[in-house]
Amino acid sequence: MRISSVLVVDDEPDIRALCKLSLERVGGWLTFLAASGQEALELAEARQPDVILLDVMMPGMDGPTTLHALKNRGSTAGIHVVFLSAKIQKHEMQGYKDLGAAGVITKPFNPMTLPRELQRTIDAELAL
Amino acid sequence: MKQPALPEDELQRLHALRRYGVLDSQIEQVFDEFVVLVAKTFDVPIALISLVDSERQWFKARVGIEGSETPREVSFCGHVVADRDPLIVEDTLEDVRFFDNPLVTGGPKIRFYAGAPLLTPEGYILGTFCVVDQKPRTLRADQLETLQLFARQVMRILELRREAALSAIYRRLFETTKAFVAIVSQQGTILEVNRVWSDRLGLSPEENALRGWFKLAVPEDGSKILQAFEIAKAGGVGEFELRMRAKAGDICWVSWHVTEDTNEGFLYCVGHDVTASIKAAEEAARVARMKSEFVSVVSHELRTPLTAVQVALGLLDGGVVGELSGEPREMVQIALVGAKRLARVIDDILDLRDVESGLLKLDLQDVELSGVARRAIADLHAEDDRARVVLEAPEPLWVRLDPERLYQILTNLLSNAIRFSPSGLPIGVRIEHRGPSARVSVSDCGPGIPEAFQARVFEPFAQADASDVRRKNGAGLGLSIAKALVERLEGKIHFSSTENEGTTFHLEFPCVLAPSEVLQ
Repeated sequence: MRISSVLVVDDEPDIRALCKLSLERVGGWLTFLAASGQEALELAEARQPDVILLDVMMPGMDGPTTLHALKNRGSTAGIHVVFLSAKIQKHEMQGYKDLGAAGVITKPFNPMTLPRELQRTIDAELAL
Repeated sequence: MKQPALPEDELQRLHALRRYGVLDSQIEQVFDEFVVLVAKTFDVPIALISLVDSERQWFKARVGIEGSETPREVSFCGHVVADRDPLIVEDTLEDVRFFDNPLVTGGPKIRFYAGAPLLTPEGYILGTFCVVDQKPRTLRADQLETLQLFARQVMRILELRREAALSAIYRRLFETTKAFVAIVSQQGTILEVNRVWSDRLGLSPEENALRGWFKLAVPEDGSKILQAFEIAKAGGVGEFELRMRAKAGDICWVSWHVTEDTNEGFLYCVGHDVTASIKAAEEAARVARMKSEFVSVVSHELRTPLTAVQVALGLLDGGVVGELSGEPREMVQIALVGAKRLARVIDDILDLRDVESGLLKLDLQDVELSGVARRAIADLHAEDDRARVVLEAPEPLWVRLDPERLYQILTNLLSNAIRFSPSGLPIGVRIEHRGPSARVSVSDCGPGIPEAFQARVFEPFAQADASDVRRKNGAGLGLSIAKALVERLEGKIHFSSTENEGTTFHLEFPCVLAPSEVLQ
């Protein structure tokens, strides 16, 4: 699957803006932005992006809770979700995958390779 | 003259004598009345209660004789001690053992002697009750029996005295010890407690008895008492820690051991107040937790803006928001390198916290060392095209560890070596068998570690020279992390260093069989 649209979910406006620049200009993808888990659920349903890039640590509804909600809704259950997280340990990565995430991109990420990395993560999940 | 021999149990006998605490004690009426009574009964001028010490006999009570002691070697009583029998000498001048004894030839000019042993319940002879005359005499069997009866009475008094003294000593111990002591019935009723209970728990003895053992304990701990009592009743030592409620409401941690006296059916309980050490351990854990949380929060707070900086600089550098060239591009690249370094320091701090706090989970596998080393070296070459690393691994060696952590250790050692090696000179990595272990050595051709700094090499943020931080481009955490990881993996790390020649770090891990060997 070639990615063409991404929903970025992060409570930090700077990170959202920077992700948008990277994904739109480097990746050439249509990019939507959500500032919270709640907003992410609405946008995911309305826009049906190929991929959701989801921050783990957010006030209120955090990443794993949002993922759980997405996977439990018929209209969003099929969307690939990749976590955006601080440096993690290997066993935490497995924990995220068990929750239903396709993978994890660690912060700080390289904006010049972010789209490539996302594509590779999705390809790897589909290959399984 | 025949000197008295020493009995076989002389050492124990002397020890027993000393335990009565009677040697050199004050004159006491009860014993004085005994000797007067015996002298009258036997119609003799001299009667003595004599205790045979190591070098002398000492008279606890005497009538008709001067002086309170004589040397043991001239004593008659010494023979009673040696022979373990009563001694009757009807006429000393007719007896080869005594005719030339100075007590016979000189004062008090003994002609007749009869002594009955003072026998302890354990069977030691402390001395005699004896009668002496200055003219020859005989002693009938019934008279000897009377003398022995007096000797037994004297012994009984000494025995009662000792018990009373011991009892006072134990009472004092009971009251002065800092340990909790309790004597408890099999039903758990407290029969007796020492003062520590009232001092520490603020309860009077009556209150202790009323409340009972179980009611003093925090309810969840009640079962521990029962278990310990069961063990004690089965003849063992019941050990447990109990939280006890003081009257003031605070909790006192007491570490107990309980034994049973099967004759009396009482449980003897001794407890030590361990509240201070438990509180200290809790405090240490709390501080460690706070430190760990602090590190997490600070790292997160640092990382969030740093991510923004690094990503923004990455976009500028990548020309995404317009091509940059010349000095502006150079400036952006300098800023980007700085941001990356900062990110690595934060990662290192988190790593160190994870390893030190035990948060790090290990994924243990049987690993062939050179494979991991090749990967670390290849990644280093990819990152830094000036790096030159030469690997020597003459044979495959297998160890059991977490390959990702080994990769991290090697990466840290390699980047440390690169930082300190003059550019162009190669870094050596050697993997070899060493006794039961596999050894990985990473050598550089750097300036060596100054001797004064060698002890601190593995300390976090340690730098041989503060100016190194900038020059060498590292925060000083790499080796701390490497050491912490090696130790988590139950390996060893050490180094040797020669000034102006270089430094070699050695890792050692116990070898395991290769999978192919295991199958065979």
